[in-house]
Amino acid sequence: MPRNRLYLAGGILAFLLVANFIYYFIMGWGLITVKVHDVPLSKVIKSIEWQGWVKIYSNIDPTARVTMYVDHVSLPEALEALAINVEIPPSAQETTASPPASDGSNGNNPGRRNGGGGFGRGRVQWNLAFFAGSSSSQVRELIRSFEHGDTDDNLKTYNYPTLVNFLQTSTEDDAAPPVADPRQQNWPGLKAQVIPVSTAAAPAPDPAMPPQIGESAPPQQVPPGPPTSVQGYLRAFAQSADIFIVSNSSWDPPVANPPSADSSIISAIRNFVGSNHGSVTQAYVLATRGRGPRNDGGRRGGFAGDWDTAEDRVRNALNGLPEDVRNNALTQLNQEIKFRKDVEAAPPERRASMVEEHMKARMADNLNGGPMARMSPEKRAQRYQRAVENRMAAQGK
Amino acid sequence: MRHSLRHRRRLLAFTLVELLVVLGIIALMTTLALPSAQSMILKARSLQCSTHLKSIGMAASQAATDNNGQYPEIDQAAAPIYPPNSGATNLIGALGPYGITTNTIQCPIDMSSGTSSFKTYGSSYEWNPAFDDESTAAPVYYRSANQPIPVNNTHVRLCTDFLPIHRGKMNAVYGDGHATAH
Repeated sequence: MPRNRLYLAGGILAFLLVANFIYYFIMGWGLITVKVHDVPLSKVIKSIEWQGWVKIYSNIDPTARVTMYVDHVSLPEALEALAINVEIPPSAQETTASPPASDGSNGNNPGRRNGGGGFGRGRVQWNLAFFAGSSSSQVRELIRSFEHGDTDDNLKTYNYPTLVNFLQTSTEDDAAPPVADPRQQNWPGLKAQVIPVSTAAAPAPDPAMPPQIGESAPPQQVPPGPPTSVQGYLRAFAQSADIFIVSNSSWDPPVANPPSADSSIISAIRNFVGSNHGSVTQAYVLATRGRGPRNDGGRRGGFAGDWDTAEDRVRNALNGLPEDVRNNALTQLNQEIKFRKDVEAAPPERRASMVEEHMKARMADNLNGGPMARMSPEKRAQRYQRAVENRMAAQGK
Repeated sequence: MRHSLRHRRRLLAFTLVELLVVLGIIALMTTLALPSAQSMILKARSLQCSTHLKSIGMAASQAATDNNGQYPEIDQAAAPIYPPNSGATNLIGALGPYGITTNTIQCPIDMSSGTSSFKTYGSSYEWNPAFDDESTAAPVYYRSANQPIPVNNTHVRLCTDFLPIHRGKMNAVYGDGHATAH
């Protein structure tokens, strides 16, 4: 009998231990903790991959140094902090290449993560990415090309900017606003008019500057209309959401039936590629911005002069924000839209000063949030140093 | 008689199973209560940290009063940005005369963490030198030398934690004297 009781006691204790373990496992599931000081990027990527159960591809030198501190944060938060804090050696900034953007997309700004952090943040970007090709071997080749920064003419990247981070979503003045999760975006279905794509190239947009609100849209060089082939639809996916798509232009079979509206952008792309007998790999990309070939949007880059599409894309990206801040972000977006319309209605000579005043006010509001709150102390010190040097220069010291 | 006493004792005593069940319930309840208890402890420590920051803010304000209404020059502990002969000093050096001590620059959460900024940088708090020498009445942030941005004092973040150690966020004290506690 005593032996039976001993077994029972042991069993109950074991059950409690297992229950405890499961409880903490569930509570911490998918959350990332990285506390590192001056370690190689490859090590941090591996750690995040392991903790977040995701795959991350990068075209940055894996020996680039990282100092970052995140404790039990979501995957987007961790990637945002990583993108802000990775230190690329100056020599590598010039040589690190990115896949070319050959259409009306975001130049060769791979992985430009705007939903929650892409804007005005630095040289490194991250994003949810899809590598789509005719076969798994072609997809592997796409990934390899991306990581090595190849500039194959057939390599296509589709990524359009969204200025979600420009919207101050946090109600707390000293906290980093939450990062939007790109996985929460939807595929709204094909709109009647998709942004046309020209072959004319334009420089990639300056990520530190907002789009030139007062400018009129550039002339459209290709008549609008629904896409007829796979590449056209991949572009349409990228225009509708804040994602990054890499594909090979040689894989461009005609598409008989357009993809129907789906609740999730991820399943929409997967289903579309599958139904066209292709192969797709979903991952995250972490990449440097580079100088890109011209695209059809001029300085505005991926906005391509179509503000309505850009606004829809921002709204889609906002789906990835926590509910408590989403409404605040939507309100701010509506204010920005109203301001843009006010500028367009203003006399041309007034527009520049209106935009400047607006930008100054926004910068003053956003001074402490976003990137600053996620930077490592050393990185922040660099930023402070610039501000001090600027002040000294302005005061003639 | 002896038999009946034993029987009575048996009836009065708890069995091992009963004891284990009670212990199990206590253990489970402790497990469930632990996160909220921990949260309360962290919040209390965060408030203490916020009080320290408020003291630093008040000291900075007094220092500014003695400095023609301009914020004092305080160097960055993580990476010094002023030349050695500039006169800029650390938090204690600049605000010590106004009551800031080594205890004030210790955040209780930072002190108990494995990655303590106090141990690394000599202070749990980071001064923001971007507004050094700026007028407390009308501070300006220089994004570039020819692009001064007037900033409201409620947005002038004077001093913060080095790391987001307060449940993923940093406490801070602002130019108008208010401090946050996360």
